[in-house]
Amino acid sequence: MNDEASFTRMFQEHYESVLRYAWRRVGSADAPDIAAETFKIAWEKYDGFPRDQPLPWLYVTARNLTLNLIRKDRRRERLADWPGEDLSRHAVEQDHAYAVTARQAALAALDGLSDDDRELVLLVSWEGLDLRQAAVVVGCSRPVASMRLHRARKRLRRLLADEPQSVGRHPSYGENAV
Amino acid sequence: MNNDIKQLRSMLEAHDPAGRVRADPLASSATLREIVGGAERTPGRVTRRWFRRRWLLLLPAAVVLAGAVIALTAVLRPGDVGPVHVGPGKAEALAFTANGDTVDVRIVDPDADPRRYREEFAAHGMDVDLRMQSASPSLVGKMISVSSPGRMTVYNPDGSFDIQDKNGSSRIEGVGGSPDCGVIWCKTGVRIPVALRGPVVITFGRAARPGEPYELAGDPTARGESLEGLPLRNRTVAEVRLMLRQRQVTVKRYYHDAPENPPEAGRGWQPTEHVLRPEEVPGTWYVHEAWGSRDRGAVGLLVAPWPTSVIPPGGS
Repeated sequence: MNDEASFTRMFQEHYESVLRYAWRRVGSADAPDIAAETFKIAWEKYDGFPRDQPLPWLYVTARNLTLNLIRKDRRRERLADWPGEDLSRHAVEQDHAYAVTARQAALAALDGLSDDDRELVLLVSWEGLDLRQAAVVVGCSRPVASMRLHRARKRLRRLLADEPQSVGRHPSYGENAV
Repeated sequence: MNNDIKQLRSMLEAHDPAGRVRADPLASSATLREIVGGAERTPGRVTRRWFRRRWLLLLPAAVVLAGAVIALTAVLRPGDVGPVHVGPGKAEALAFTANGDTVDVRIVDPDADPRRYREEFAAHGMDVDLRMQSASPSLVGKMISVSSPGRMTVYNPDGSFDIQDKNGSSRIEGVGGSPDCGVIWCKTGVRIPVALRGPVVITFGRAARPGEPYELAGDPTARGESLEGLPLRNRTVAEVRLMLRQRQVTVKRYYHDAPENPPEAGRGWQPTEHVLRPEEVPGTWYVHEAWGSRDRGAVGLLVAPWPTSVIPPGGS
């Protein structure tokens, strides 16, 4: 299979995943551009592109592009600030008010995490990556990713339950030790 | 720990704002044609060109600037001011370096009574508790994390921590260059704002006492650790077993790493759910990574019948 055919197949297989990745982070208006630029860079670097494991590479590239967009525009720094129009028109047509409120609460809770913790959580839940792939995307080791997810899960549960944060035992690498 | 991903997925699945998003086939076909038909490929060199939006071209400049900021922060750290000691007449547990609105703090005596740390912080008007946890050698004397009772702690990508509550935010930074902790983030000291609000708990590693298990287990190949400097990635299990024997290190547990082909095969794979008995691991398999252990002289090994293509942080 030549490069063009191989790239076309890879594009068709993963374009939608990258589009969703960008949509979740910068909204509907910029997501197609982020996805397109991600695949354009992939094509430019296709000689060294990890063809067996494209998704982590694609997400790392899309992440850099979205972070740059966020830095520049300073308008999508909080997930919970997503316009209600986005939520209602594109994603939750059938949802009633309670579901929209629940989603806002979830987004607000996610917003309370650090950038890297939130990214890890989204990668394993919405993007469906496994621990190793998610660790590659955020650039940390698997044990560290595992520790962060554990911490994030506990924090999210607290926030969603609307309980005051208790005196927490902060991340201990010992928890990840064997 | 093993159920974290499962629980997160179930917690957040219903809230995915893009769960129903589908790519427009016409638009995506046009994008593909534009990429494959219009972009040049130059082996070994990226030819970044305009693509719809000007901001996309700003990425390389932003990366360079970020690098410069990090370098300046490290170079201009006011270490030349010298430590300002408190507690006349006795050896200090901590060294404080004043720096305008912030104070840099380093551990002088990692085995001091925790009350002394608190007293010395209190002498500087700070409500700080140091939590010293038994650590493997690469993490001894290193700052590992920050938290604050009853308030949110946000860990930033640059290694700083923001303590947040409804009244605002205080930033605590790690200082002290980049000590060798392998894949684990660490610093040798901490920079605290003088006007720090509320209580803060800072975790440092301390040397473990005889027979005491590690609460903080570092990267086994980091400096001072049992496998310091050993390149284990993609060595055969037989080779690594020999290297471990020579260093009198034992394997506490083997974990089967996630399959890599086809690409989606490893989705949701948790190595800790795939523990192997030693006799199930042939010497011809490959070691992908070593994990630290609570026990001295023991490690966990992530293994598989194939060499891994995953590049660890640092790219080694």
